[in-house]
Amino acid sequence: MSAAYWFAYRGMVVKQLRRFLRTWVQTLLPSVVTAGLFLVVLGELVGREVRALDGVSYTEFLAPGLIMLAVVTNAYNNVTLSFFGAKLQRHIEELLVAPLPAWLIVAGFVTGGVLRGLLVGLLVAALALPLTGLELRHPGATAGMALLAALLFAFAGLINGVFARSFDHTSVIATFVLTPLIYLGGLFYPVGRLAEPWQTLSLANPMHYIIEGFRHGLLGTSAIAWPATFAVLAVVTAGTGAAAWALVARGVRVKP
Amino acid sequence: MSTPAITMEQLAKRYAGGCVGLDGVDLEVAAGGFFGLLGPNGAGKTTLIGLLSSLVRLDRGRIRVFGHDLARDPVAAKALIGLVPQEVNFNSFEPVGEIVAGQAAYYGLSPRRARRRTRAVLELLGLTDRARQTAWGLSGGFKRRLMIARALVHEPRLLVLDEPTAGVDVEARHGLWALLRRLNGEGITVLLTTHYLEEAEQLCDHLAFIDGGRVIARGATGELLRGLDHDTLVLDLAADCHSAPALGDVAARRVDTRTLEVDVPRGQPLNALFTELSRQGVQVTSLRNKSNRLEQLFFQRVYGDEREVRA
Repeated sequence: MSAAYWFAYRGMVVKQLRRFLRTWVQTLLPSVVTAGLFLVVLGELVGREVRALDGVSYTEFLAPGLIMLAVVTNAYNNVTLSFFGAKLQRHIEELLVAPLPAWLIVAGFVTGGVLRGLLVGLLVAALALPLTGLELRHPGATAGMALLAALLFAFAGLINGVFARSFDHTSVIATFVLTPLIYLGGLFYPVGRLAEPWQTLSLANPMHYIIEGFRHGLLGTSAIAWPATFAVLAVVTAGTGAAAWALVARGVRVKP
Repeated sequence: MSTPAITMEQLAKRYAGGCVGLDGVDLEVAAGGFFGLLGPNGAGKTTLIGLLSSLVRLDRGRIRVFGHDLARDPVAAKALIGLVPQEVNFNSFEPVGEIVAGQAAYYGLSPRRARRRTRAVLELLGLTDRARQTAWGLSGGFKRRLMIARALVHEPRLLVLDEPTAGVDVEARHGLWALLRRLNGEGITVLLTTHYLEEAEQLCDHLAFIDGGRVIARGATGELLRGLDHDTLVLDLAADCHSAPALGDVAARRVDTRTLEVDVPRGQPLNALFTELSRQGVQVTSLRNKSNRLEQLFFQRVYGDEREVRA
């Protein structure tokens, strides 16, 4: 990367960081509070009635899914809203007139989403730690899975931001697609214990593999083949990134 | 001969729904020049600026900026342009200084140089005291200044302004004219679109009239103005006049009982006109030009003479 591109990338990332740190009550806090409530209500209160799952307590079982929920929803929402906001206020034009290639514009937005996703994930993990006594079994796998998931959903959020024409459009996918997929992807229960056809249907849910992959990294237990999951996730992330780049390069919904 | 600042060849743009933005525009702007683009609403001025600044997708044609092809070498071409758009297009929730410094970063300036240039352009535009203020709270005139500061922060060789003085008060407008003259004097090429024809006449050394997506006239401002065939004068009368007097070559119209309009062919002395008016007992107390000469030329080129007479 040339020095000029590095300075431009740095400038974009600094703006993204300032944006979500300045409004931390709206951007960082809600996911931490939600995860805390789930851990206390479901983990501590309901969890007492639940036997150990895959060899860990219910609170421990919940924690990886809640962390991943925070990572992917924050990465997604940050990019969707910042790109849509830039379109709405027209300051996306600051980037379009500047001597920046499309990949660099994508990198700036996506880095902002990834940083917010990982930061909120860390905050949720910090909250879960005293409640669950989590041990980081595979640090590399945990970090890799979190980073890939954040990247994938940041790219997906950018695609959502490109096509969004109103604030409604920025929340539809997150509310009606992303959140149900995460909730039904084995966050609260082991998919293997479901009866048919729900088990087969759950296995078709991509979020199941992301949650299980992350659970493997944190707890050392997993219902899936972890290396294959990581490889598939990397390929899907690359494909989503290429689609996001193509949309920005063509100026879809941005340039008449 | 130096490389032109802008070369446009056969630019064409049609929007979704079939609306023609531009239809085969050829234009050249000399390096160091002050070029004005005039035309009625919807003529294609903003489309042309949008194509030049990469905010609109080009259907056909070629644009070169100081010899750099905008399609083939966009990074080199875009680095030379500073754009002041017609509408506000910054993040209103950011402080003024951050908006300008952010744009400096996008143009590849190092953090140290970005800080130095930001300070310099904020000072130049009288925004230093407002550097920490959120842009949302700025008045219309200061928002315009902010966009000019942002456009200048990377030291462009070509400054493109789309109706920069629209909605700006007279004092601020004259301040901006002085700034633009100064920047042009320092070697920055200026391309300006405006509805204020006085502004174009005062500032621009070359003009192009655009209408219906086509350039209908272009040339040096002085040469274009010399093409006017008459001046319209408004005469205030000392006494009531109930019909327009017959004045030979000079067409006369009665506006009201105490006001006449006369079209004086260019080059014709006014002495004969006043002699004839005196002979007919018409006493003139004062006179003025009906419109500035460029406005007259604008109506002549865009609408034809009749519209100018009706106006």
